[in-house]
Amino acid sequence: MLLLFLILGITWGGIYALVGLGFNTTFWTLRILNFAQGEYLMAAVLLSIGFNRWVHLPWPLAIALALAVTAALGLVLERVAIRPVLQHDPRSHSWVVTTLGAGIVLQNLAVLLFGTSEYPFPKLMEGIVQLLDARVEKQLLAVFAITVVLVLLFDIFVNRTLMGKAIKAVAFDRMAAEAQGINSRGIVALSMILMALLAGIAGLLIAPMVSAHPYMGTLMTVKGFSAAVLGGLGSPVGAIVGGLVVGIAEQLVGGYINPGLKDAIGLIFLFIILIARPQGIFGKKVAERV
Amino acid sequence: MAKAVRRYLPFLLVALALMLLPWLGLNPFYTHLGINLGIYVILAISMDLLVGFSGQTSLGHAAFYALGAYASGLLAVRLGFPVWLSIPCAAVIGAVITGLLGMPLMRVSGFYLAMLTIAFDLLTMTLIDQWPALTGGVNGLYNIPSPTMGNFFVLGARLNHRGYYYVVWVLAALAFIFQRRFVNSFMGRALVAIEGSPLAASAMGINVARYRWTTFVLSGTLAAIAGSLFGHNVGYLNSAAFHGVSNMVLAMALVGGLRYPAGPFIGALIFVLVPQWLNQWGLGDKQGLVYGLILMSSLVLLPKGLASFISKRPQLLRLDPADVPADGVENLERVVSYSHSGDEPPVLRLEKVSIHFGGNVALQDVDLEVRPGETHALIGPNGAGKTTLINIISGIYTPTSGETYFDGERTTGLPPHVLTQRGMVRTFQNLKIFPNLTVLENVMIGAHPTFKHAALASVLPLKALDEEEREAMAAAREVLAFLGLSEHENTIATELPYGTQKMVELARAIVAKPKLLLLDEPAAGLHNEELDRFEEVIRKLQQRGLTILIIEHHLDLVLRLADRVTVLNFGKRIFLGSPDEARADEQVKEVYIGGAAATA
Repeated sequence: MLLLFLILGITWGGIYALVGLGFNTTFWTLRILNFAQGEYLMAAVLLSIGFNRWVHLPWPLAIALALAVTAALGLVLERVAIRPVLQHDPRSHSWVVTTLGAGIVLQNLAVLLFGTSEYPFPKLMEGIVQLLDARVEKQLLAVFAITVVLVLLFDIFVNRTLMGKAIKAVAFDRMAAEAQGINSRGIVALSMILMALLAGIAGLLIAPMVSAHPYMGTLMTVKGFSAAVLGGLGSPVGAIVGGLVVGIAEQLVGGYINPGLKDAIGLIFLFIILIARPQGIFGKKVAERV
Repeated sequence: MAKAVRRYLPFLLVALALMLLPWLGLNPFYTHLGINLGIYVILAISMDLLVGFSGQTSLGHAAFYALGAYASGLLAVRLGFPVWLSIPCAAVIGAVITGLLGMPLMRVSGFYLAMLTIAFDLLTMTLIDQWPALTGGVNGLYNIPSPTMGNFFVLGARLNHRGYYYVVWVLAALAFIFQRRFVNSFMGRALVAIEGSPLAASAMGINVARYRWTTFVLSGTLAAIAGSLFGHNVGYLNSAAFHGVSNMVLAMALVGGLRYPAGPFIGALIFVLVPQWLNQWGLGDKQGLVYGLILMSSLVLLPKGLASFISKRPQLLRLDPADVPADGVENLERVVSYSHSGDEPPVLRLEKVSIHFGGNVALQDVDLEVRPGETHALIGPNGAGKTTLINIISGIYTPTSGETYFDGERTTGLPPHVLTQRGMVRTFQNLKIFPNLTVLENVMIGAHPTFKHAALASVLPLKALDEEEREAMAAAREVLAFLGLSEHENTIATELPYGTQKMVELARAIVAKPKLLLLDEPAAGLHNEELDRFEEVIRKLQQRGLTILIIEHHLDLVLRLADRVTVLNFGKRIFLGSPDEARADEQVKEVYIGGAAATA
């Protein structure tokens, strides 16, 4: 059983890591967190289903189109919910409320369009493989493989490409980056797109394992945040480690203690890390400039 | 008296209208709405206290509301508690749970609390559904004493809806009075200061962590009381009853208007009516969507809330400034008067202080001594480590090695608010005036350490607290008059020109009656006239025996004012002596490359 729990934990942890990375990208460029992140995850899934069911697009096309729309929704979010409050007062935390509101709007629009019933989602791979004493769904392994590839691509993008370096430059000092000719507004847009895509892909990966419905995102926001904070907000390695810790702990607690406690793990980790080490495992303590 | 009538009349009229509502012969439905309104008012007050005053956002108030409802309901149903006991018990349970949940607030705030409360909300709802042995699970908890069931008894008397209406509104009125008294005091000012700048608040002697936590617990407790009233009203609970409540409570506080006395009433009224309107228009199923749109847009379209249209910004003062004259302006006796015998130990002493940031050595083995009554200047080129040193002295940074002593005691590593409480007060290089506070309120924050009462005492009608407030207000008004700022007393401080704001910051520091005043580039950005005024002010303070440590780039000014000078370069002390010696010193000249120092 232990092996199965570990495989499940690592796979789910990877999903939390993706959402956590999404938190990081907007935190770098705008110093904000998108409290509607889970709803972007949900939007990509339900839009795919919608395009497939009602527009009769084949799945690959439906998914591609859904991701494009989700990314566009990311840009809309910056324009309607983030830019206005930051322009009004750059220090304020009003974006907590406005992005949350945007998430509730998305959720309710989804309820209006899709109802509250649960939709099936096609698996990438059918079948089961035997790994030592564990019978593991191939789908699970596929999700894991894709997550690993995505995390690597993200790392290459941020650290090896010019655009990725521009994101880091804006994160470090927006004014200085602008003075170097970096189009910071473009970089902000890029970070919103990345956030939306990371959440959207995470949603598409888990959709076959859970059921797709308008409320599927809420818990993912919390768990992705727990992953990001546990590892250290702003640290990509931290998000991955944080995701894995939360994912594995969840499966172990759910498997050996009580399945009902599974969803409490994220909250418990969040609570403990905020008391013990608010900057997270890999985060650096930042001294406020005075 | 007339003033008091004018001030309280609107509230008395509202109270009267509320008292009469059940007797107007209207459909009993309106009594029901009135009960809901009262419960929502308590919820909105609870959220306003948190968001409006301490600047923390809770996105999970439904959890505290539900906790109160279930605690009170379970005590009544399972243990047979009478309602006059179950409701207070629910409040206590709410306080204990928010107290525990709020523990991380000792370290962090802002969006962390927002996410923590969302998570707690989700967890609470899951527990309610998955613990049927306790809560009745998804089937719900039945038979809670309620006027609806006809089994709500208070001391043997059966209460109908009309009676319950009064129970709810008496508690809502108490919550309102509690909140207003709580914030119209040093507590309210301290909380709004924390919301504006936690760092500067802590530098003014405010225990940021404790106050944030206290406010969170009060907020959670009020929400739990509202919840218990809700549970006893409907008589039946399940988790579905709390769906969307968190968002609604937040929207109520924001739409009504944060910090305004009328805000929670307006917000609650709107959110009692919104569902009715939506049903009328056949949009009953779009309630969630409407709440989402309101949350998304209200801070953009209506950042001050609806109450801002009908009332002025309330002052966060316990007494009316008109009743507290600023006398003794010229001699300033009340605030600044120190006598030094000459053989006292140094006020401040640093021993071999070093600090590293990563591999970067910002300061190395710096010694510094400030004697009572002297003005000590700390100068050096950009990047010499002056501000870093001030940040170590004032407790914002802890040195990597070395010791600091203040007022004869070792103070290495003590937090800023403790040092301020002991008499070390600072100003900031980049202005840290509290937004959302008037000039008078800003300056009264300087007197925060003189308030010796506990946070909750501010709600009580204590003579001693009135006295403290009078003393602080008089001192603030005197200092403002001394600095020629009286005309700005009621202006929001951040709306003033830069130079005036710098003076306000200086006033705030003086009011604290510092044993040592730390000035970090106080003259930066001042124009000539303001510079002269500044010099005059400092001279008057020096004459009264104030001890000052000043960092300043206007070399001629600072060398005129200082008794002794320490020069830093690349994190090391390269000179200590009189201003004249500093002007003549070769090394100092070299550091300034024959620039400002040579011409001074």
